[in-house]
Amino acid sequence: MILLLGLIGTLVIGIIVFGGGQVFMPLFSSLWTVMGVPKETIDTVFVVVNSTPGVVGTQLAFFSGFLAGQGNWTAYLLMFATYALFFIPSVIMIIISYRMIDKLTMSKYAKNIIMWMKPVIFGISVSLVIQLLLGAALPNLTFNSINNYIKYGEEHYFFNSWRLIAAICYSVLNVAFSFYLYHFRKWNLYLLITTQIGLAMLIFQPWL
Amino acid sequence: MTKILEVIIFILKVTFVGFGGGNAMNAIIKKEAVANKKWITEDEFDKLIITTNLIPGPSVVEALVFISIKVLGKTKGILVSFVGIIPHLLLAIGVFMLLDTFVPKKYLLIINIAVIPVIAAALISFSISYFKASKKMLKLPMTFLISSITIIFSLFIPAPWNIPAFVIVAIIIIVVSVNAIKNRKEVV
Repeated sequence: MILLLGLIGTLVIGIIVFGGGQVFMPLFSSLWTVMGVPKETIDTVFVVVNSTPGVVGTQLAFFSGFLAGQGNWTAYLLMFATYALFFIPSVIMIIISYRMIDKLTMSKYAKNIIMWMKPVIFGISVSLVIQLLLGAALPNLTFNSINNYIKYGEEHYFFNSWRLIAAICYSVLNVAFSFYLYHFRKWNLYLLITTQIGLAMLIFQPWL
Repeated sequence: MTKILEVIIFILKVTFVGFGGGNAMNAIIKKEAVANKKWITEDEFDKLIITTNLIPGPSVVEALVFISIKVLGKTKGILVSFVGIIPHLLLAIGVFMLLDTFVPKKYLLIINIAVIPVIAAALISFSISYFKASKKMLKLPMTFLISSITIIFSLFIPAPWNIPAFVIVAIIIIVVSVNAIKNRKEVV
């Protein structure tokens, strides 16, 4: 039953959700709760997904199979099954839309639509920058998530007292320097990331 | 074979640097697929962003599958993107299994706080290119108005009702309607 729930639930979430990122989290959280996964395990999965790179929705789909396996060896097979169930509808949808994109190129309205979309893409990116920076500078702040529009909690107890002040200053300086180095000095993004991870370790001293 | 390897490396680069998820990865995808590899044109990339935001499903996976199909063809493209996405999923499972015993949570939080501003910086650079392109095609007040509406919509409409698809659909309806009215007037 749990197995079936995990498989069908993941497939349905992959078909109905628009966009990406954090939008998937509450849906998977509900699915896993119905599957009987303990709340602590769900919280740990979210910490891992938010702190590791990659496609959030796909990571959660992968975890669905893993959790449905309930610690058995089948968990390792099930995580690939739920991943496939999540991946296949996206493939079908993009192949159908691929044809639409081709048709759109031929349409006389296409150039007009693309022209009007440029400020929309700019707006989407700017609002994302604001949300990302809020999340980085104030790790305990929840902004515009599904359950809370704005909430300040103590989820990440690590970032309190001097580390919280350091996090605010470091995030602002990090984005300013990274932008200068990336946009004007044409630094490689991967080199920038590595440098910043080293620097952050020195500043926040997790070994203390 | 070289092309397959190139696409796999491209997917690995996007997924292993892709903190922030969804549209936050657009800057990296554009830099790699449009500027560096020239696999798709800027116009195709714009259409890809619009399409992946309009259709359900994970937008990044859809973008990666689209680019893979464009470079390798349908069958190889789908298979390569399916396989290419797996390593970062295994990393997440690995971290989950090792968490607290070998990987303390605080180290993950620090990596997050180090990488997110870098991704934000890349996104600012990406945004500037769109602002400049928009300014060339539309008048500045119009660029300002549409981008402000999008920003206000994304930030102040509570999730999950703030999905970009709503703004995109509204713009498409307005553009198509205005063009249809203009055409009708010309005919008359």
